Amino acid sequence: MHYISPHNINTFYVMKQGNIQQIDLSVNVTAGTDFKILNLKSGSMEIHVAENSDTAVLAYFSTGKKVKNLAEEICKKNIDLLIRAVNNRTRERNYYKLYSELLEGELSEEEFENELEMNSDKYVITPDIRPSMIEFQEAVLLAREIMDVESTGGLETLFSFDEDFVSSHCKILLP
Amino acid sequence: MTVCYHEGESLEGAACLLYTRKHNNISTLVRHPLTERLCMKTEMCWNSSAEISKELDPNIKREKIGILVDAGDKLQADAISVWVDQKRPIKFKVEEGMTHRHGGHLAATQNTTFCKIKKPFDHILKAVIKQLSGSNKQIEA
Repeated sequence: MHYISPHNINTFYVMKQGNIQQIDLSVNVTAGTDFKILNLKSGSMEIHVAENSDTAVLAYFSTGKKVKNLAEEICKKNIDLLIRAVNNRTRERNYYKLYSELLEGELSEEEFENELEMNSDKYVITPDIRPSMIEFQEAVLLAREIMDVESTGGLETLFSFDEDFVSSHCKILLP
Repeated sequence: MTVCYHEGESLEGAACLLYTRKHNNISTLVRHPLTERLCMKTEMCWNSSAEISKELDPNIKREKIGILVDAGDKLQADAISVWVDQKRPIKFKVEEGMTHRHGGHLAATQNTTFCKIKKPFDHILKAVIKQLSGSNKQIEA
């Protein structure tokens, strides 16, 4: 299967027996025309990567069922993260829409509070998701392309991440 | 009056004074991680401080044990997360000349406020790391 990876090719992670491991890849570089072709081997796994100067990487996972599953899993996780981000932005929008109605006098204070309590899922973000390291890294890569995510606080709100987990992952990535 | 500087240290008061050089422009309605109540959350992210201006009623059950609760207690750090028990956005007012040279963003909350240090000042962080590495050397010796 083909998988377009946003990662630097030196930082591959593999799920092995439920644990995430960074693999050491021996790199065999073959000259290409426009793209540089890299054949990476590690144990039973073989990956073919085409790369140009803009670091666009096309990886072809050729062996190993688990590797294929991991690629599918990352794609699915990215979609899940983006859906969660859109939903949380919608919740913020819904809240400020309701708040503007309050300011314009269309709603009373009591109605405003009741609406928030009764339909909390429409307005309230619950930052209780405890991301794995891979999920966190994917979220950071996605957040680079999303408007107004300037701090870890923005990241937590956007993807509903637990604050303590984000700070512990940041300490590992930026010691 | 106690002042705390380290990561994870927190305070809780019935009303608080907040000061920062920069904050998230938008407050978000979230569920408080400890109380599960609806509250507004914002993040002060540059040269921030939070001070209790009014203590909580001592009969009210505290959210967390071992946090600052007395009037005048203060957190000082680079980044502080703030949860305020209200459903309207937290409003900061810009005041010029707060630190002689720079202006600042000020807010006075009137509802139960919970603050937690997210990122200490760099010099505090370096001092902690230095102290920890020193103590490790002592243990090794």
